[in-house]
Amino acid sequence: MSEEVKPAGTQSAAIAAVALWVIVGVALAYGISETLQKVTALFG
Amino acid sequence: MPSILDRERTVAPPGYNRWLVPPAALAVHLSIGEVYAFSVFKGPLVTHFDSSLTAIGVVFSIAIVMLGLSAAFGGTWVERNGPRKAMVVSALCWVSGFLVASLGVTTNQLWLVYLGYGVIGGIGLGIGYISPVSTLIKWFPDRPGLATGLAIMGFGGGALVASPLTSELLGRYADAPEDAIAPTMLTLAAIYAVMMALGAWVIRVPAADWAPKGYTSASAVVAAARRPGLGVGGPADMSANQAIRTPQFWLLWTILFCNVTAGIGILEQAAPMIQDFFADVDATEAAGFVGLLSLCNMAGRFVWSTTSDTIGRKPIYAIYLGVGAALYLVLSLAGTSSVGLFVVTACVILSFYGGGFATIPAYLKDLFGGFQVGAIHGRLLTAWSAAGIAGPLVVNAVADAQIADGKEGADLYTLSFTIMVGIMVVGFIANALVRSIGAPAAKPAASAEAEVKTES
Repeated sequence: MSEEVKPAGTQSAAIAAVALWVIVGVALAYGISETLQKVTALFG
Repeated sequence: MPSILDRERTVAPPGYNRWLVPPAALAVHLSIGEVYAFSVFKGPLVTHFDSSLTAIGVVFSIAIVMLGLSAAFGGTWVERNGPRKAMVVSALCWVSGFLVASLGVTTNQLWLVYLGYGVIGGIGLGIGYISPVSTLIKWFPDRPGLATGLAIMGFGGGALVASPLTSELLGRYADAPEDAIAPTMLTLAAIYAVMMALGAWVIRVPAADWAPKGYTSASAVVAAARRPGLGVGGPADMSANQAIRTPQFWLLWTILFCNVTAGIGILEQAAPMIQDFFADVDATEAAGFVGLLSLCNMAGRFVWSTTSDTIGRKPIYAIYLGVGAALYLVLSLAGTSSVGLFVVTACVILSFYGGGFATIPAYLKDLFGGFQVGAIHGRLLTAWSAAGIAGPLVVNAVADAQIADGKEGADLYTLSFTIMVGIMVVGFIANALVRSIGAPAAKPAASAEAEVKTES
């Protein structure tokens, strides 16, 4: 996507949205890695 | 003057990047998805209240029933007031639910746990579940399956995150897990308050005249006409009250009910089931199997829902229900032949289960338009509540009857799986009966393209 955030007042929300992408990504990575550790027991 | 929570204050300015919106939905769904990790609290709660598993299991059941009811009755309110206000209400209910439940634990009042986590938290679940769905569909009218898959994947992922986190907290706050329930709930409440508040802040709705580059409603008709059976092309923008008077709504209700009931058939009994099928599978390996099912449930929500944008909603449900029925048959007839076959088959079934949840809002949008898709989705979620009660009842009643007949091991599940095949076939037939509302989808591609040229 090439669109950019233009008007003032939405920049902080845009930055927060990027931060939220990172937070949910890290949270999901934590959940998946913890689950995979259990899964290895099944096939280990 | 509009409040900061009102829809008007969340309209995105021109040029706003639509990829900044999904994390708001994910933050809310990851938070409320904790409900599927409630089982981690079960053991400690049973010990703390010196109660039965059934009495504690009621907490989860109340929450799921309240999810369906609040989504059904709150859907129109959510559409009218916009996603930010809905997310804030959801956060207040969800977090308050934890606070009241932890008060119940501290004061030894189980009814407060029912009221808090079950009733108040359940309302937060329902409002939170539908709050971002119609917004995302409006941001991604060209790829509604991807949009809803992204959001609803978060609900599946919520348990993946909450389960190990809750176990960790229960272990850290006290020597015995039953003494650590209240502080664990308070910690989770604080985390979810922050996550959901961030989501509410970040969420934006598109302006009424906004559309992705190169997208027009006519181009959607062309795309639909190129994919026969997609189910796109209803009379644009039906209200929720109009939609529930159509047979299509109740066919989709039946499809969701069948899909969820069949999925619960495995989910409800996953750990004991694999141990009954294979005597050499121990408790740790069974826990790994449950974890793997959760992963497939989450992945299916994104992968299959996104795939439905390409192959169409009706064909993908034919796969979920038709192939799903065949896979249940495989489990029933050859499930004991190898662990690998059993695990792979169950994983695919669970991926279809997740996919069924995530694709249904896009199916609704195809049929009824985007105007009140959130409210319509809310009403459809009563199928989830009904399946949440019927599924475990069927599975447990059948298992009890088989035990009473002296059966054991894999034989305990043969009848259950056969019933699940039947349920999937009913859903398959319901899907086959779904027809577009109105004529646009029936138009040949050439005619639809001619319309586009005329309009441009």
